[in-house]
Amino acid sequence: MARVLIIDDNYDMLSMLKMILERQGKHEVIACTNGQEGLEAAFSEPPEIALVDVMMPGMSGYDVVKRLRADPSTERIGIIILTARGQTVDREAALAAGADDHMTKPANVEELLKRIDELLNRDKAQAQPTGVMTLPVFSLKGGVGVTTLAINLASVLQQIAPVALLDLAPATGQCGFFLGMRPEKHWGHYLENQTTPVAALVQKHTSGLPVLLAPPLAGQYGWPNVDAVTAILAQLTAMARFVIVDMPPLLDATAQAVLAQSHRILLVSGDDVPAIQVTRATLQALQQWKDRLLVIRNAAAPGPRPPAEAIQKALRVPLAVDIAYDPAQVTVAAKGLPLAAVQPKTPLVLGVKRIAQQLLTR
Amino acid sequence: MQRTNKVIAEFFAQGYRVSGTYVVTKRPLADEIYDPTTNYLQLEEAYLSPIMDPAKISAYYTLTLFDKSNLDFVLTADKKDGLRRDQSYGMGTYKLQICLTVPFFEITGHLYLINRNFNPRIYLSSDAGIFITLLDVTTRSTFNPDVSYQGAVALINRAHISFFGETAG
Repeated sequence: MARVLIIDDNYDMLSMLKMILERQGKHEVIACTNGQEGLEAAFSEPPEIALVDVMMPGMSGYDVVKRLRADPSTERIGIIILTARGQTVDREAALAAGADDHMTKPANVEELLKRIDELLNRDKAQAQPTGVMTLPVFSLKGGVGVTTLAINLASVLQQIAPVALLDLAPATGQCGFFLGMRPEKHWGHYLENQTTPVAALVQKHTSGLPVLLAPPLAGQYGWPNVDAVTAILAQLTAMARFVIVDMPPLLDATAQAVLAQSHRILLVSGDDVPAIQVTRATLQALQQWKDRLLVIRNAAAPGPRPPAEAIQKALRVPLAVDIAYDPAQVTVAAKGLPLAAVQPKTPLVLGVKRIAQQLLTR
Repeated sequence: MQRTNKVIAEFFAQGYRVSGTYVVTKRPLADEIYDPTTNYLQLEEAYLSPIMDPAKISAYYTLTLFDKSNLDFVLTADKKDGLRRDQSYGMGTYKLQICLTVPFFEITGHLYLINRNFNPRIYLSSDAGIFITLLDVTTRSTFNPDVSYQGAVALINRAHISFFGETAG
């Protein structure tokens, strides 16, 4: 089952496709009658597949596909152009615009379902071979929501494959505080006795999320060196497909060792000028890993926000995901729960899902 | 997928490609086009493309009237949509491979005849109707020969044909 977005101005066609995909394909369908509406639906919660008509008033299907491909949150969607224009030149135009496939109306139902499955399988195949992923969530500026994103990303990815969350806070535990967990076991114990299996120190949150907490008073146990953090990561990756690391606001040898071993680095920026300046400096410092970076703007506080274009211009990199302020986070965090586990449709969780989708499809 | 009462066909006229919807109310598209008593063909939702950039949609109209005498040809993807009601019962047993030109296009396809003795001059000048019907059609743009269009049926304006040839096979 997949989330399928259909954009077609023909109401009869839309209803028919919706019925077929829901009943025969068992897909969740979002139906939109014009390009603008379709784009809004795609950006608010990206689907896995989009079926796009070409001939629509206002915005043509080709323009819709180009816009979907231009946005980092939707660039990996499987897109099938479904049109009455079935000439070779039309197929070429559809593929040139960025569609994955082109079908002529009236489409054969079995063929359409088969092509949707092929696209879904292609995405899964692209996501699978990387196997284990170490995913540090990082910012050199505090207060931009690194821990919140790390916890919620872990919660979202937990629905796909086994996850481990590593709290690498240097002073006092952040994840434990946010999740309402007492640090009875933590990586400080591993530093004391490096023969202790890391798995024995991992605690399970009430949501089922396995977490390796930071010690309550780090000074008592010291700070892991490169060898220790490498060993911790190696053991965590043996027990989970996704290892999410709540990174400290540091770029010392230990932090660099984690970043070096990562598959993607989620660099979090805030909206204010100091946060943007720090992110710019961090981007320069992380040049050697620029291909792994996903830059995320997260509004950790309410208030007016500069437009995403301005941020992208200042940072000189595209924002992979732009997350709006989510007041629900405050109330849910006070209960020690990941927002993603209890309110799956809030702006923060939708943003985290977009991050997860990008991680899985790239 | 279920057929509706709307037929989307490609209309070519004076350097433009128009993908338009014909709403079948009383009679099929071909009967409407062949009808010598009417001058205009009404379409809904017409999307206009210049033939030099035939995939680009340059304009959209919710309602369009075509002067049938100015149409070069009409192409349908489905055979049912391009045949007159009488043709749908049979078109003759003799099949000729035809190549012809209209402004901006060369068209190849099959012409079906009842009579084995075919005389192009007589056929073009005396047969009834302002359009002729070819089946299994490929059309090629004169100024952009890499671009071709395929269709089950082409209805070609007889008066716009400048070259008409019968090919072997």
